[in-house]
Amino acid sequence: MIAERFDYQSPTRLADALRLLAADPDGTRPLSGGMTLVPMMTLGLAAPEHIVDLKRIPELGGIHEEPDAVRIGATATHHDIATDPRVRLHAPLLADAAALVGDVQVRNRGTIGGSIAHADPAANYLPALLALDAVIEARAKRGGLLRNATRSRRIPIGEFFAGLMATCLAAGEIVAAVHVPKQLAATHQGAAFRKFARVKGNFPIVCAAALVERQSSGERAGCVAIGGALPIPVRIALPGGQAAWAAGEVETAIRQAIDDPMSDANASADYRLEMAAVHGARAVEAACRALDDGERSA
Amino acid sequence: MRQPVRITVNGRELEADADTRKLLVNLLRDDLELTGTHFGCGTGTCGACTVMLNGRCVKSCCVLAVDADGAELLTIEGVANDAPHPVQQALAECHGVQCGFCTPGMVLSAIELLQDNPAPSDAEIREALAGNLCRCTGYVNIVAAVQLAATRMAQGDA
Repeated sequence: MIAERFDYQSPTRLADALRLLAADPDGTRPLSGGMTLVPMMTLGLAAPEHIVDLKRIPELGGIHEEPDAVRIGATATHHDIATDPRVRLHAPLLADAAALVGDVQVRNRGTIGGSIAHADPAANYLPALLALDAVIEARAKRGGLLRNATRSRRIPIGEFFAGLMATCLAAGEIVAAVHVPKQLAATHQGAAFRKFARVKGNFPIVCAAALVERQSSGERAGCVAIGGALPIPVRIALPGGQAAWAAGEVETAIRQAIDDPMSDANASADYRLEMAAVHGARAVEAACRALDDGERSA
Repeated sequence: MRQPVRITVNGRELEADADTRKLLVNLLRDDLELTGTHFGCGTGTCGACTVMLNGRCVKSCCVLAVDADGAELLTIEGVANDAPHPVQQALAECHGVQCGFCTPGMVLSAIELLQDNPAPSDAEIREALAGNLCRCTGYVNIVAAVQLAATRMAQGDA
């Protein structure tokens, strides 16, 4: 049972939800899977006066293939994303990140939109979306007198996070979808996701997403994105002009990029930095191995 | 604030008038007297309150009761027919139950797994049950029980 009173609405039209959110942005929280918000309310860490459930709004759900990207609706669950054949084919890095969120029950209910909007720095999706150059589709009620007018904008993932559990979303604005550019074929690109947590199913201490590709020169280019080390996820370009990277070289690049690692009860700053370097390097190694395999099969 | 909730639980259509603050686990236990769904941590960690909602396992402490309006639920009370479900039978035979607090959640998670994957490896069973904490058994006998249930269900003699 939750202590504080609130009202609950579950509109089926996006314009209605955005109007409810705009009416009292400070007192209203959008609800999706509820995997974070409901326990926070139970624990008294959040006490909104109004809950607007987004799950019954068709435009916010579903997974659709576009010419160059996959559009994943905000209310798509981690299970949907981990098992969808289009995501598996065109954004396997994201599918891998989704498959390692929490546990079965959490993946059956929790959603990508909720995870992104909550912006926990260690959330699996964040480094994967950063490595993939995803774009957030945000929606809000448009100002003025028109009751059902809404506005939409697209925010590159690299500009989306404003700080610890903070985003650039305006009051009353929601994540409507994520557009994930299609990865290259396995013959040209390798990707890998690594999660490091104390206990299976726990939130990661750090997680890492690596993406490497072969350039026409024969050299490789790539990046590794790290979550959980800094208040927002960080993307690190790998040194260019090389055919491969030594683990030590990757670790050094990660250490240089993470100047002031977070510290909490799960991991001290030094340990967190060490784990970011180790698991980031392992992700790069695995992505390179995947590309080696892809090249061999070409 | 109260709102009507219409749900189907174990095949029975039910109506309740629920406070918005009520969690699904509280609705099941307190209003519908289905106390086989256990209340453990209350915050989505332990899995004791696991039920199937529209065919997939969820933690009912993380679902508002009003949010379950229109849903079809399966709780531990609806799992057995005349005889125990093969997963329940196997847990008893393999000594996969000690205090029993986690067992309803374990049973539902195992049933979801075996629906998707009738012949899982031990690693797949452990992955599927990872959302259910057991402080008694050490999990070994639970994994063995799910293997036994899978074998019997595949043979169709359970």
